[in-house]
Order: sequence, then C-alpha cells, then structure tokens
Amino acid sequence: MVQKLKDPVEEAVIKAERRIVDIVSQPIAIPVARELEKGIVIAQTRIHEIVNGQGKKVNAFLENAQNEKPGKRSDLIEKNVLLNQMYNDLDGGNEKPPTVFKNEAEAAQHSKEIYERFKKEKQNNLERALDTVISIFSSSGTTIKDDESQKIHKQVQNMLAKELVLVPKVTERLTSTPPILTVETIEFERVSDSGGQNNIDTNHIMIGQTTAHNEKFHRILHENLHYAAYLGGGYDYRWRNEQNEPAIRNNVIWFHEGLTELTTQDIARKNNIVPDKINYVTATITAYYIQQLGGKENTLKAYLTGDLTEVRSTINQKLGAGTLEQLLDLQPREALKILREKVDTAGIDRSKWDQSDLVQNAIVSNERLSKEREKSGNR
Amino acid sequence: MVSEKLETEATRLENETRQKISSAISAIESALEKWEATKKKPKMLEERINELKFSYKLFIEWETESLKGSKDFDSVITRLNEFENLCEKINERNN
Ligand SMILES: [Zn+2]
Repeated sequence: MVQKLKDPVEEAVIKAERRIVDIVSQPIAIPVARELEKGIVIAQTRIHEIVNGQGKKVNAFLENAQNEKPGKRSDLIEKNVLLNQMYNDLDGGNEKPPTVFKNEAEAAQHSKEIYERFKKEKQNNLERALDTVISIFSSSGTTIKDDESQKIHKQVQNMLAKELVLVPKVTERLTSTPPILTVETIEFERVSDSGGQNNIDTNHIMIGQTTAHNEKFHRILHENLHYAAYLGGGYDYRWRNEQNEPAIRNNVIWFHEGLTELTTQDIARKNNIVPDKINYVTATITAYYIQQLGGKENTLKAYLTGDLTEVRSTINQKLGAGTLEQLLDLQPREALKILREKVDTAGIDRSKWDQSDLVQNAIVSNERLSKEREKSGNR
Repeated sequence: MVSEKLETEATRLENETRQKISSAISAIESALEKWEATKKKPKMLEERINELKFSYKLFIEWETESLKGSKDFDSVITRLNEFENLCEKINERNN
C-alpha cells in the first residue's frame, strides 16, 4: 500500500529496490523465526501506535466536536505500558550480538553459509523478484585474504575508539566484541550501494574486493559504523514526544544508510582521507541537512543510539511540528524534496550547505552513478 | 452549522489517520510477506500472525472507505467514529 499515487512503473521499481535493500540489510545468520518475529514486532508496534496514539487523538477530537459522553477510551492510556516497555528495551541497545565470531576463519565460514543459504533460497524460488540479487550472492562468491584491508580495518577500529567517545557504551562494546572483517569476491555495490554488508546480529562485516586503497577504507569504515550503531541501538529509531510519550519507528533503512554514509564521510575527512565517492547520495544529503539542523553532536548520538528525541525536537521546532516523523515515513527522494521545501519556507538559508564539499561531491557521485548504470544497463 | 475551523481540523485529522494506517499496512504486509515466504512456519508465531491479519483487514477496509468516500463533514466524522470503533475492536482482542 502506498501513500501517494505514483507512476506504476516507478512504483514497481521503488518497491523492488526497497525489497532488495531490505533483504541485503537484513539478518542472515539468525534463525528464520527471529527474522519473522522482528517483522511481527514492527507491525505490532505500528498497530499499537495507531490504536493508542491516534485513537486517543481522534477520541479527544470527537468528544470536543460532538459534545458527546466522554471517555470510553480512557482505558487505552494503560496500553502505553506495553509501548513503554518496548521502548525501554530498545534503549539498552545490544550489549553484543547473539552470534559472535572469534576470528577471520570463523567469519569466512559464516560467509560460506550465507552463500549456501542464498543458493537454497534461490532454488526454493522464495523471492522471484530478487533473482538478480540472489545470483550475485550464490554464483561465485568466495572469501579472499587481503592483508591491506585487514590493516585498514585495524586502523579504522583505532579511529572509532576516538571518534565515537561521545557514546561510551558503543566504544566499550566495540572493544569487548570487535567486528571481524572478511573480503568477498562478490559485488555488493550492485545491490546495496555501499560495497559491503553488515551482517546484523553478528559481529561479521564484509566488503567486496577492490584494488583502490581509498575505496577499501571507505567501505571498511562504512561497515564498521553500521556495526557500531547496531551495538548502540541505532537500528531502532525512537523518540519521546513533548508529552513524554514513546514512539518507535524501526526499519527506516534509507535513513540509517544516510546517517552511516554521512558519518563515514565526516570521520574520513577529519582524518584527512577524502573518499572518492559518496554512497546513498539522496539519503546522505538528507542526513546532512538533518545534521545541520539538529546539531552535529546530537545527530551523531542519535545515529549511534537510535534515540531521536533531541534531534526531532530541534528540527520540529525549526521546521514545524511533525516534520521529522513525516520524513521517516517517506522514501529518500521525497523526503529530501519536502525537507528542502520546509527549510526554505522556514527562511533558513541552505546555500552554504549546498555548496559544501559533501553535497557537491554527492551530486558528482550521483551523476557518475547514473552514467555507469546507463552504460552497464543495470536496472 | 459547523465552524470552518472544525471542518478543516476534521479533514486534517482524517488525512493524518490515513497516513498512519497506510504505513502500518506496509509494516503488516512486510511481516505477512515474510511469513508467506517461509516454508516451515513456526507454530508459536501463528497466533500473532492471525492478529496481524485481523488488524490488517480492518485497516484496509477503513483506508478504502477513507480514500473513496465522500469528503463532506458528516462523512468525515462518521469515518472518524468508525476509526474509533476499529481501535476498540483491536483493543478488545488484545485483552
Ligand atoms: Zn550501508
């Protein structure tokens, strides 16, 4: 179901893309049941938000409007207990992933299992729409040894210990359960745009092989950050509103990717490395605007913990109530469009942001990407 | 006579409700899709899936009505009342 009518072809493409990103970024090692349950919990949370949050709102309105007898719905307030519980659970983040690999050899074994799994899924024809993606994973993937990448990985870990001190629980967890990197022969960037993959609920991150030193660093830092955010609770976006009521919006993958790439670019530049390109261009520009509006430190904290309370409150104050919520319900292209409009309406000058090195680079990356796609006939 | 402000407010509230329902529908659909795609369906999750299906049906019905129905004030209010009932139905099942 969609919120707005769109061209059916575009619709299908967007839907397929979303599913691809979903599959690629979703837990692979954990049992199917857990994955299913995650989907159920997300749906239940949404239902809960509607029945309670929106239900209360409509009830109050109708009481006012029609002057009817008050309150058969007052008992609903009690229901917030459940949501509060969920919220508090998420606040803790993940102490460590349920599956922990000790070394590269163990992680490489895990890669093998992933290839096998995709092969099986393809045979079962579970996701016909994903045939192209699955074939990338199942055809010729192998783990290769690459000392240079491992060296960069170490360097990145040291870097993050300094750059993420703002959220001590993340740096502590990174030290006690560090991510293990493997280099794979498959081309992640054809499907996930980032050249790598963070296997959720494990400490195993992967990148696709490349010879360019700069791009190795880019991919490794990006995937390291996904893992760091996973430990901090950054995959589960949530906030408390002005009435201190909790809200949860997990699974906004594009937003998470945008923040990941933004943080990647920030940290790389701070350490005098300028990545050759920018991934998830639209999402990253959107995240950059959010960062400019919400503050650098608060945005980094929000990225690493998933707690958007402060950022949301600042942004909604500047751009109007409900703005951040609205953005999260959209896809990146629409979100960026609306965000730009709102910034302009609020009379905030964004010309400096648009001239920033990051946004300029993003535009170049985008042009190059569409040219490459055209040439190779992909999608 | 209905005040203009009340009328706008009712429409706004209906639109907002519809947007939220629409995004809940997507979340439910994605959960149901995963469920359908799974060969061995864990028994322990079946009950929760059925609950999702229950809400799903109500949401779709309401959404369709909200999209296609008349936009005059009385109809909007009727649909908001139906939304209230819908919430109650879902809540009753959860008790
Ligand atoms: Zn990524």
